[in-house]
Parts: sequence; structure tokens; C-alpha cells
Amino acid sequence: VGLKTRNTQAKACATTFLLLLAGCSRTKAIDREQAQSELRQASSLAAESELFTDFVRQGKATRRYAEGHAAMLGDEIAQSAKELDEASPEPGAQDSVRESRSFLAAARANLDKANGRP
Amino acid sequence: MKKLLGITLGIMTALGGFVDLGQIVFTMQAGALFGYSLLWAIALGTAAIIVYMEMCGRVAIVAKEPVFSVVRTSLGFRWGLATMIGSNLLNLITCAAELGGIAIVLRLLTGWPEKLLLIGSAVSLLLIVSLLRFQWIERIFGLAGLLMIVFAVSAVSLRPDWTQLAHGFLPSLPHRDTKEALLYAYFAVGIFSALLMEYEVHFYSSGAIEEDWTPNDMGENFLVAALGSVLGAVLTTALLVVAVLIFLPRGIFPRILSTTIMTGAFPFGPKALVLALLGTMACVAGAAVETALSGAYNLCQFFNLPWGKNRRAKSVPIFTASWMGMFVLALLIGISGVKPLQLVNISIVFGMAIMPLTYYPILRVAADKNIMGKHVNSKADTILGTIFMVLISVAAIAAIPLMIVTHSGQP
Repeated sequence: VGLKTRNTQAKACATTFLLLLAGCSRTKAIDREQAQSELRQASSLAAESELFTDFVRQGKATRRYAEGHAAMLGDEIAQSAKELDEASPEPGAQDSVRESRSFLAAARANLDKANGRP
Repeated sequence: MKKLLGITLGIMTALGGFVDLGQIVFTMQAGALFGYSLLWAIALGTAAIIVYMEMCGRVAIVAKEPVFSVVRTSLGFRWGLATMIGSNLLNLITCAAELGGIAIVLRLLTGWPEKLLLIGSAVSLLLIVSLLRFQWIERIFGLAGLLMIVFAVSAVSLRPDWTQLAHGFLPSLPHRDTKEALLYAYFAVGIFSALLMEYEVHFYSSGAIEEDWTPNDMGENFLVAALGSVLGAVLTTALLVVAVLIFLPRGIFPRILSTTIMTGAFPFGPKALVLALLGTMACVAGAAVETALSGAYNLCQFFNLPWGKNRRAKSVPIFTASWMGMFVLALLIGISGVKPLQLVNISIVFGMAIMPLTYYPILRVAADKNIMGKHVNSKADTILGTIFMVLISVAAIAAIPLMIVTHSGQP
């Protein structure tokens, strides 16, 4: 009986540990609605970086503004990309997450163009 | 000329309240999501702030009591103290956000590191407020804030559809789904709240006493409240219009200040961009000064301590230490790395939640014939004040639940 009790306690401890580990894990499950919200954000960032690139190309920005805004927008894009990397999409949300990643890649490419990088 | 310059109190109050960091981004987000359909919230908030600014100016002139003395008398010590603590926490959070906003704008102008600029901004504002008399503070920030007109010129140059724009002043509800309706309500409450931020009336009524207004200035009080607020509303409308014309068709939901500033120069070029940056900095700095001084006014008026920016610092030691302390604490919050726009979201929504406690005592005293004598509220003033009080209370109840269900306005 003692051995059985110890086994049950060990199982309970292991389960608690695994649950805690899951809670501390860096991946965050995102459902379809959250994925849609991420998609809208990523698409907005891509459009924003395109607008900014055109603004710089047309010679409407000062150099300091162009550098500063590119850095701030770059931080926003990096933050969104990090959140997506740490997300674990639920079934039905994968497509939106994939699409979000490609929007963010486009946003980064636009910023590189604005910065004069190939 | 003196009368003309007197209007700068209204301009600084309104620009610092209407066109501060939070309002710039918040209004543009509303335009980017809902087009012109939230313009009515700007009109409603403007009418409400004119009615209440005029009332608290009148109370300051007749009863020689600024807002926080009135709050204490009307609500009693315990509720009054709670209101004072809540208001000053909001002032502090807003001041920290505005300091962060100044540092962002300065970075876009100079390219220097943001933390260094944050410290430099706080020190500069401390020096400006220390060295200048109240009238010069309001003139400098009020008049410099007028550079924001570049956003109005940009809006007109982009040729908005005036009929659609006019329709935006009629309240309407979006019909697509519940999520969109909740977002719409969140932005309507947020715009209304941002136009009525408590520190505007604290600053305005204290300013009326700082400037020694007498019953002869009653006409000027109305003019200052109305003109300053209407100007603030025109600029807020311009911000929404440029967002509708630039962001909405491209599916952009602006999240950072630097994106929103670009719109002021969109049809023009680098010179307009510099004007837009300077105008934004003046408004944001004006709001930082307003909130720091309001914090000190509130504390001293509540505890009946000597106060006044125009008095020697030694004769008003707690007042002086309080506004300086506000800047120092705001700087520490800014240095801790909290994003200014996160702070602003909190201040707008929680500001709404405690708003009735600031506005109700003003209405009560302004309608009291024993205190106000022949300058008591007219029937129309009291009816309008009561209608706005009901709207403020409804918005106060809805603000926090709306913030939670919409994840602070995330589309």
C-alpha cells in the first residue's frame, strides 16, 4: 500500500511539474481570432513601411526623421515577429500565422529599401 | 493686446488637453478604423468641455475657489481625498507619457539617444517652469502649439469628401458585428474622455486665479474657454481627417507617434515635417507642464496650502516642491522603460472612470445661488451641465469594461 501511495505521489508530482513547465513555456497558444488580429497588425506594418518608403523616396523626410522612424518601425516589426515566433497556433490559425510572417518579412524588406540597403 | 494674449490660457489648456500624445495617436487610430464616423464624439466632447471650463472659470472668479477647494467642500474630506489621489496619479502617468513623447519627437529631430533626450526634456521643462511667470508659460506653449495647424492644412490639401465629413458629426453605429461595435464604443468613449481630461479644468481654474480675473473678466472667461476649445477641436478633427485619407485606404492602424506625425507633411515636404514635429513637441510639452502644475495645484488647494506659480518659490514651498517632484517622478517612470503610449492608454481610460468626481462638484457649486449670487448658472447652463454629467457618468461606467473586452482597442 505504501509503495502504491508513493507511486501515486510521484505521478502527481511529475504531472504538477509538467504543468508548471508548460505554464512557464515561452510558446503561447493562439486561436483563430488572435491569429486574425496578428494578421491585421502584420498587414498594417507592411503597409506602413511601404508608405514610409514612398515618403522617403519622394524626398519628403528629413534624414534624422527617416533614420529615427525606420528604427522605431523596425522595433515594432521585430516585436511582432518575436510574438509570432513564440506563438503556437491552434488548428485553423496556422494559415493566418504563416501569412503574418510573410507580411512582416515584406515590412522588413521595405524598411531596408528605405534605408538604402539592397 | 492683453486681452488677445489672455486667450493663450484657453489655447494652452485646450491644446495640452486635446492634442497631447494620447489624443494624437488615439484620434488617428479612430480615423484609420472608422473613417469620419466618430467626429460626433469630438463635437460632443468639445461642447462638454466648453460648458465645464466656463463654469469652473466663473466659480474661480466669483467664489475665488479653484476646482480642488470646490471638490473638497462638495464631496467631503474622504471622497475629496480619494479624488485628489486618483487625479494626481493620472497627472503623474500622463506627465511621464508626455515626457516620453517629447523625447521621441526630439529623437526624430536630432537623432540623439532617447534616454538622454528624456533627461534633457525633464531638466529643460523644470528650468522653463522655474524661470517663467505663469502668463509666459501659457503664451509660449499655447502659441507654439499653433504650429499644429500644419495638420489642418495637410487635411484640406488632401481634399476630403466634405459631405461624408459632415455626416460624421451625426452619431451612428457600425453594423458589422459585435466586436466592431465594441471597438467603436471604446474609441467613442476614449475620444470623449481625452477631450475632458481632468487636468484641463484644474489648470484652467487655477490659471484664472493666477491671472487675477475679476467679475469684469466674465466675458473673457467664456471667450477663452470657447475659442481655445474650438481651436483644439478643429486640430483634433484635422488629425482624424488625415488618418481617414492616408491610413484608412491602405489598411494602416498607426501604433507609434512617428507614423502619425508623417501625415502633417504628407502632401508637402521636409519643411512641413519639421513644423509638424515642432508643433507636436509644443503640444506634448504643454501637456507635460499642465499635468505637473495641476498635480501641485490639486495638492495645495485640497490641503489649503499657499500656492501660485507667480509667487516666490520660498513663499509656496510645498507647491514648488510638488510640481518639481511631479517632473522628477515622471522622469523616473520614463527611464524605467515603460512605453509612453501604454501609459497614455491607461490614463485616458482611468481618467474617464474618476471623471464624475471632478465634474459633479463644479456643476453643484456653479448652480448654487448662495455662492455664485448673480453669476449663478442660467437654466440652460444647468440643463446642459446635467446632460453632460449623465454622459460622463455613463462613459465612466463603460470605460474599463470596454478597455478589457477590446484589449485596449486592438482591431
